Amino acid sequence: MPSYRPWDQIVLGHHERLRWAVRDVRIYLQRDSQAWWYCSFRGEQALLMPDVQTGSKDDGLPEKSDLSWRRWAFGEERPYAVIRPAVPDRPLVVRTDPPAVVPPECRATFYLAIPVWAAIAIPSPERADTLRDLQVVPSDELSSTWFGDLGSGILSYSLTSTAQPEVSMLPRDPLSAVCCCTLFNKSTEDLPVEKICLQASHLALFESGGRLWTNEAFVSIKGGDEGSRVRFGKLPPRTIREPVHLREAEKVDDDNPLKRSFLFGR
Amino acid sequence: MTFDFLHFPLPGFIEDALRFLAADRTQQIVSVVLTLLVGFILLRILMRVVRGIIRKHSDEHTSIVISRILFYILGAILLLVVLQSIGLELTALLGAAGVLSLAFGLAAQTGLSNLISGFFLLWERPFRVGDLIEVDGVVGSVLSVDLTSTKLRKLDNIYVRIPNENLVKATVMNITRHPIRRMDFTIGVAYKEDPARVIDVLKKVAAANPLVLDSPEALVLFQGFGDSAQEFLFGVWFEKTTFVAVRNKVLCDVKASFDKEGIEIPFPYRSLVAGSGDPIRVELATKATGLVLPSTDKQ
Repeated sequence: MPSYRPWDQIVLGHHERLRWAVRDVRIYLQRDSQAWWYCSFRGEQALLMPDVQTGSKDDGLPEKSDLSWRRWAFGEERPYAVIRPAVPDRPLVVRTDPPAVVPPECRATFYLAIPVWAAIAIPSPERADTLRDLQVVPSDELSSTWFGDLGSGILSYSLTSTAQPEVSMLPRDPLSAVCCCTLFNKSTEDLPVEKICLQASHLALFESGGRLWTNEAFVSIKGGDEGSRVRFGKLPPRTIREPVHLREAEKVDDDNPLKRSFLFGR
Repeated sequence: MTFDFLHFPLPGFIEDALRFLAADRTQQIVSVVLTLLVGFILLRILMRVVRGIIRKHSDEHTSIVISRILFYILGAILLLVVLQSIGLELTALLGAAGVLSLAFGLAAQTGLSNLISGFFLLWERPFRVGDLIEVDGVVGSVLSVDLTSTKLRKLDNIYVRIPNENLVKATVMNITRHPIRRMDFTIGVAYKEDPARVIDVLKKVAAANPLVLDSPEALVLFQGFGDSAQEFLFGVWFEKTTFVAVRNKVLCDVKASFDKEGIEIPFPYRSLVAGSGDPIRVELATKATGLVLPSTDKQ
């Protein structure tokens, strides 16, 4: 039974089954002649090491009474399906603990642990070289939050992890990607930073040295009514060697780069 | 052809119409019918296209408003063109239209009021198609905002038609206008319980529920001393589409947490007093008290 790394692209033959187990997330994907089947659940015990195996359909399944399979009836049209990383479907709010203050004309870099979900994807019907997600399996149950004022805020996920000044302070987790976010305070006043709201749809995913990374985010704050300008780079920080591209960002260019809600100080 | 036999003068446009009908103009009638038919079909197609284009750039409500206004304007133009093509004098028609509209207006006051109210609603947009609103105690989601009435579907799938005039006059509560809402619960606990501990437990219930928003924070307010319980207002913020799940989960969690922490949810106590004397003494009927109820066992 061959083993793979979590985000390897695996082509399953007919009547073969893939068992994808990373941390406490379990996904089973199997192929028949006319359909793809899938089920997922959260395991009781967290795995220290990712475990991805292929085998025949008759390989034992865990004894779970509530295990329910879903079926996609594609016939022979979709030759393969892959499990690939995905970012959550809403903006993410990360706290800085303790709250930080960025003085005028100064830069500050924060490292954020972005939760990574597992997406089952197939070749897109329009373009065979691109993938389309069929199902996204959340790796964590994220708590919802509202970012901004009641009239013009945005529904987001609240992360339990906090923004850290160094990457080494973030735990290594196979279902978490590091995002490097640099703030540049261009205003004439101190910038208090309590929470950072990151537009997850602008994040691409990369792998380097067994760790997942996102593209860099740069924020410059001019203060007053001018709000903040957000720019997302195309790659992780330069210090990351040979990043392997795993997933494109959902949105590449922002329609309105001036986002007042990006940073929420005080 | 003349209409002298009527012995009174006819308005110009009626005379035109009668003359048109009296003459043998089969071809012209067919042409008018065809023009109206084709014009109407083209208008409907145009409306669909316009609605589709607007919906791509805006919401459903705006597309309905713009397409309807366009439909009525173009429809009126089509009608005028057809009338002119058959030789009706439009200036006379428009002049008579003023008099007719006054008479018609008096007769159809309610209908016109609803029509004008409909334009107000479409313009002001207090709600949109799909919103959940409450009007005069009726709660339902908006199916359509038409020119004379607004249609709702109640939560139990009952269809409700509300005249637009009523909507303009009434207080309308749009429940789903904003993406997030607060759900309030009044929770009573026994007087023996420590209120600070109750507040702490309720805050933990809110924090542990992923459907309850972290921010804005849940509101826990000690409201006062009720007849049988200390009363707390517990308000949690949630995303509007998760109403049922949040309500069920929060109430279940509060009950479970109170049970776990040994916090009593009391039921009302009543003391019965007869006349001005002491309360009636109530004792359990046991052998110890000497009060034994007649046996109901079937021997």
